[in-house]
Amino acid sequence: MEKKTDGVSADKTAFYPKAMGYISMVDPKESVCQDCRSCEMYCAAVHDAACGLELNRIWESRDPFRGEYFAYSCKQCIAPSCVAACPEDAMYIDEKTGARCIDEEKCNGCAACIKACPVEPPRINYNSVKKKAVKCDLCKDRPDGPVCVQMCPTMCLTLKKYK
Amino acid sequence: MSEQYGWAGQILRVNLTTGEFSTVDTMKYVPKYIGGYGIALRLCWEEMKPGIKAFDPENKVFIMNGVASGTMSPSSGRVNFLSMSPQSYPEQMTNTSIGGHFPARLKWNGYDGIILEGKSAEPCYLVIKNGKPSLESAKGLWGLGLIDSQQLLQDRHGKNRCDIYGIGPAGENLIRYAIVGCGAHNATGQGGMGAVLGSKMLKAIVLVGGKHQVKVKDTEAAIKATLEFYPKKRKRPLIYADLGDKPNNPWWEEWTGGKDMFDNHAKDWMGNIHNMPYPIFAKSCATGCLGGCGFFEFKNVPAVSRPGLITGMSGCVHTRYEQFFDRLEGERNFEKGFEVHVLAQQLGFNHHEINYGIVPWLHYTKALGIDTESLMGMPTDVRNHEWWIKLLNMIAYRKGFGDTLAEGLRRTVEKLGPEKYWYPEYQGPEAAREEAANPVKFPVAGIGGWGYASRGILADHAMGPAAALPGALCWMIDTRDPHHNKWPDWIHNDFIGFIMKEPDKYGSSFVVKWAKDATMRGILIDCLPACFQFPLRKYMGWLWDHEGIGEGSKSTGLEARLFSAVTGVEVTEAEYYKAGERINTLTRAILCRDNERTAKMEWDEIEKVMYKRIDMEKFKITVGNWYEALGWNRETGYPTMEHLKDMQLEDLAPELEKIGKLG
Repeated sequence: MEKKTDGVSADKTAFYPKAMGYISMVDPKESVCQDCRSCEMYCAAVHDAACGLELNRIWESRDPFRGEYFAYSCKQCIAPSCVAACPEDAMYIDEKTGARCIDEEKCNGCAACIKACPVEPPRINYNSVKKKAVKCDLCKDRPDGPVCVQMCPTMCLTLKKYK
Repeated sequence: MSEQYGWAGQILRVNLTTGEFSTVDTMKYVPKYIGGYGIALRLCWEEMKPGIKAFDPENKVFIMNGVASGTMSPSSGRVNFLSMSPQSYPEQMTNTSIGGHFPARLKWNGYDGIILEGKSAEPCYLVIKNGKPSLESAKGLWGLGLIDSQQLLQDRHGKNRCDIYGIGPAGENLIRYAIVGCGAHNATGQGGMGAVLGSKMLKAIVLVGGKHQVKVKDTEAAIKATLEFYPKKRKRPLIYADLGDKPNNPWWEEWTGGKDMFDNHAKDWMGNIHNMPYPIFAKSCATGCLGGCGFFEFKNVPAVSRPGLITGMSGCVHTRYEQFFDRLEGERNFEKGFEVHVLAQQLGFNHHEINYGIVPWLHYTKALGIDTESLMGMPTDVRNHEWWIKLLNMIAYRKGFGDTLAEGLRRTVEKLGPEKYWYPEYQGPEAAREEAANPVKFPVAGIGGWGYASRGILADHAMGPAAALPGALCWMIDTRDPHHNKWPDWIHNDFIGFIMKEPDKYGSSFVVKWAKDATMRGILIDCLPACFQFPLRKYMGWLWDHEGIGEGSKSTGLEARLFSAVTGVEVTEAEYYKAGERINTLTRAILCRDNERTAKMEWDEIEKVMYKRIDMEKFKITVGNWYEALGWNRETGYPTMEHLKDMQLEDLAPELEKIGKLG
């Protein structure tokens, strides 16, 4: 089956190439999240030149009363239901990284991808100002790679490779 | 500016008497006053007047985040509270800051700040949801602990969807050193802002959601500047360690900057907690913190006096609770200290006043045979956690002598008689750490300027009179303990050279420069904002100096670069520093106009709290040089017209002239 890549719309029956990996936390024995939310801020700023809750492609969950903090982002699913759900073919697979990406020009803001995301909470954000869905693209165009990994002060984030 | 970066553009005004909301245009005040503290001061100048007391409904609270809050600018998750302070002695306008994720969320709700005015008829709390404010009844919350009420509010408004600032019973009962707090640890610290909110019957402020997007002019420039000063990256697993032991403390080198001369400081201040049978987790205190400088979170620690598990944080002044117990004979000593510590946070106390003021005072007076036990109605035993629990509850609920202590140690000893209860000198082991390297030699009441119990003034004295000079200058012109927002004691890594080689320490220009740099840096940090540990990059493992942007830890170069990167307003380091001078003089004008500040007033105050450690005759020259360096008349301390013009503050002159306070 033909692999669908950058510039080619991903139709509903396509076989999708794997992403190189996804943003994950390291083993807590190695390092833990310190609850600074730097990953969220840098993520939004790099992608949108702005920061705000609707611009994050990575989230930190925190409970200061239980001392629980962790970060989560898109799993870059091997069978990405978000890509399949998009009615506008606005989602595509980045050729270099395999990241599941959203073409902002094509996105009509219907949020079908968010509804289709199989994990809870969904790993796709919604920018209500632009009326566009936004998600982790592994900072595909950034020479230094994912900015969340680069700037995390405790080195608790990593690009976990798919084998 | 064709496009607006950084600033949200509006400040929310909340009238608690009428329940009305309105907004103030932020852009009238920037970039001249930068943001945060600077804007709060300008609003204070325009809206406050002489004679307002801290608990009057006419008192206002200016809660301002900074221009960089809500962005990735490092440690920008802080707001400033500015108000008439009930803790200051006498009551004066004071500012204090607090972190958490509230400051960023306030920006994401579309506000650069909140002005609280008036007084609610019933207990209430303020909700701002996606930018829309409302006042809700706090009947089911009033009386709850600071942590308990937050948990309830979090359940009500959604985990991960809200951020909360609140007060505990101490704030409700107008204890003059009550905090506003968030999470299990963060606090406004000095100033008594919790009591001001209590006087307004405001239990909490809850921010929910937030759709505002904060534009950043040059993300890559901000990243570049940050990376140049980035802390040493290292993994942070949960570890077991003895922070009081150099070989076993993985942060020791960061705390000391790798310099042996700071070993005692690291041990006596941050690291002297021993025997912790729980894993240590170094947690950040604010959005964008890259340092995790030395605050440790422990979860599920079993309480001692009651069933239950406790989660909380320790670090800096907080560690003193544990230090009172952690080397005693017997078991579960760390747990005893930790339980007391988290209770103090639940009640909503300023830990400085408890740990450096009231408890040592009770301990030292007992040691000297000065009877404070009959006042308390119980024997003083600082190694007994049940004694602590009784003490904290007595104060929080104003029971017995707790009603007097609720006014703060300075007001307590002034009331009882300073000759007997303040000035007698105690010499011996420090109250919390009997094995500390240096015994203390100090008045029984460890009070610094303007009524604040202080670690800083003790530290200054430990280093000797010359090292105390810049701190004394900062104390003079402030209204609070400057050791946690100006840091006069540690900003210059060449102060040892000054102490060793400078022949005329009182006449030295270095002392004045040291104090002035500390003051301007502290002000500018509160405007950007950044964490007050920001200049102490050495403790966070940040590079000590950086040739590329001046003097690194001694400069405001990084702050200026971050300001420009976020806002697109290009400023040089010199221009940014000058904005700090402008804001400092605006502070001065407010104190002169509203708080009867004169050179004599601050001379009398500083003379009292220097405890004859410095040569006051020679110090007169230092003070004259200090006023002059700040652009104020060297005799009266009033801002000169020439300086006001230079600072573009000519509009302040008519009011100052009217009251005879133009220098």
